[in-house]
Amino acid sequence: MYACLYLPGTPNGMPKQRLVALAREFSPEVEHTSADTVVFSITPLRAILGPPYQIASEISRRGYERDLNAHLAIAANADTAILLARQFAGVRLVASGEEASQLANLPLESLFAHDVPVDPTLLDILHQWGLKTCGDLAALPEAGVRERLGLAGVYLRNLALGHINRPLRIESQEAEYEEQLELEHPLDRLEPLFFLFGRALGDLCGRLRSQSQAARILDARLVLDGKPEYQCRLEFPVPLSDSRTMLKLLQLHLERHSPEARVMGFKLRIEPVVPRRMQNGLFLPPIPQPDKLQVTLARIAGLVGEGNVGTPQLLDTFRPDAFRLTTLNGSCFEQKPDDSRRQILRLSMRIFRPPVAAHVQVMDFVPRRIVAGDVKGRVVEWSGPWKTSGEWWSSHAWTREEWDVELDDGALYRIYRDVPASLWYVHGVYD
Amino acid sequence: MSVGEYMANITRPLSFPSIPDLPESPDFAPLPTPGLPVFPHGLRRGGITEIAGPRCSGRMAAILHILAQATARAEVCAVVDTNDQFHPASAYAARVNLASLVWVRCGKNAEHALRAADLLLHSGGFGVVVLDFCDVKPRVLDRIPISYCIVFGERSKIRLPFFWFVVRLPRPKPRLIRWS
Repeated sequence: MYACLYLPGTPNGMPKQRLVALAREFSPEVEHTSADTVVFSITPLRAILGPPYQIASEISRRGYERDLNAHLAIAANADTAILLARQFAGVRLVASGEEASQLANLPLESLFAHDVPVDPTLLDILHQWGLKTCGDLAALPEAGVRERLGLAGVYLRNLALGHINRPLRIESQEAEYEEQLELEHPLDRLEPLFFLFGRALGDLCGRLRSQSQAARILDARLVLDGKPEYQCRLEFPVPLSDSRTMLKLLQLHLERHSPEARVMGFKLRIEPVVPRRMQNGLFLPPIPQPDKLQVTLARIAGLVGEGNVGTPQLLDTFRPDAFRLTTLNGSCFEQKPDDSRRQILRLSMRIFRPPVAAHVQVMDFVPRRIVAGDVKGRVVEWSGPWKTSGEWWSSHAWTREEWDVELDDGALYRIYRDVPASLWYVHGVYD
Repeated sequence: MSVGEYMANITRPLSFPSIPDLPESPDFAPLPTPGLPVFPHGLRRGGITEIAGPRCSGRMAAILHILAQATARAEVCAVVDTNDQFHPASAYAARVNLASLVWVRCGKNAEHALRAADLLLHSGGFGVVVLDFCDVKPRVLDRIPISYCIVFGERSKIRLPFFWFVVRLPRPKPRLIRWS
């Protein structure tokens, strides 16, 4: 059984909140059908309050106490309750099996004002057929309605008969995932702070998991003694719900960027998202666990520097060796195996960063001998020059003449001449 | 068992004239490497494979080919680049799926490279972890403790679906543990 509360003539705002609050007194699962209508299940209340008329009486009493002049309808399905509550003032009780007779006198327009949108031209067709009420539509044979009006017509007929049974569309309450603590004595070391972080993150993650959520962003703010607030924002490439992983990432971050003064308090806030669901397969290769991998990459970043670990991404430019390192995102865990065969080895390059300055002996406009650190020798074969330039409008402008040269020791290098500076460099080696 | 015998069991040195073949029934399915005839049965999992050679001998091409094979099988791979010489454009041209690749640039610090490789192995789940020692000076390599070899061997065995490639220049002076 479902109860529908309808408060006529109420725009968005406080009246809706009062309706929802009244409904939540009777059921935790409330459908916010519209700004003026809520529906909730009263089936569990039968064991507590008794038959439907007693439940209706209790709802009416609570509504009166809250000064809510709402319509109430109780029916076996939600849609019938909504239609009746919107049409009749006061309290309306419909026993199971009597839906069609109760709805029979409703005008057809009420079906089109319902929540599921139906093509309004159908109303004109029904009026042309001479139908005025729900009872008229319900009396038509289903096969004929389907032939002439399609599935939308069948839906309207079932609505008029009170035959539509659907689950409630429950909206979960938006939860705030935030913990804050003011310390009695300021902390000048990080270890006791991590202990407090662990407890707060444990509570937050417990609440996250209870709502089937995961953390995308962890925002930590530290109140410092005599200094501006310290803020740290950790964005996880893959949503996390494990407090120990988050604590470890926060710990690694704070060890790299320590607060400048004693900590007087903190506030932790988590932005929730739907966790990533992935189906592994017996015949798929194993992949790193996302939470463990994030901790590992954070540890490595602490070792080699934050900008030196990640996934390479090529930039859309002709500039030589143009790339950037990005954080590993969740897409790498959702790759599908590619069965195409790769049987050809391609010529690959190893880049010298920074390029090695070279002394190049040029004869007849062709490099003949190179001396650049451990790269030295006579040029036996060459290809070039290949002139490139670009991005003259930015600080990355380049103008160069590139050569591929083979030295007498058999090694193959790419060298180039920086045209504006007229200097030679060894860019890389084919390997 | 001496350390040398121990390492001989867990390493598969790649020297092109003579390649030790896989056993008849490997414990885990190897990574197929069509195009690399030196590995007729593919690459053994859970072990260290060393690829060595002079400049321009095709070390990087072989590595990128193996990475392309692994990433095509939706495996996540890692490259620990000691001298910061990895070329993403070459990797892309070799059909390596860059989205499945973790690149660690160690800025010519071999100790950082070893520790980063250790962390990656400990993390587990990678299909291929490449430790690139190309162009690292021999005196730096000589200072690498033997214990790293044993730890890496154990980790690569414990974290089962692993390959390990140690890439570097050949060194003329022989040593108990073959880093070259």
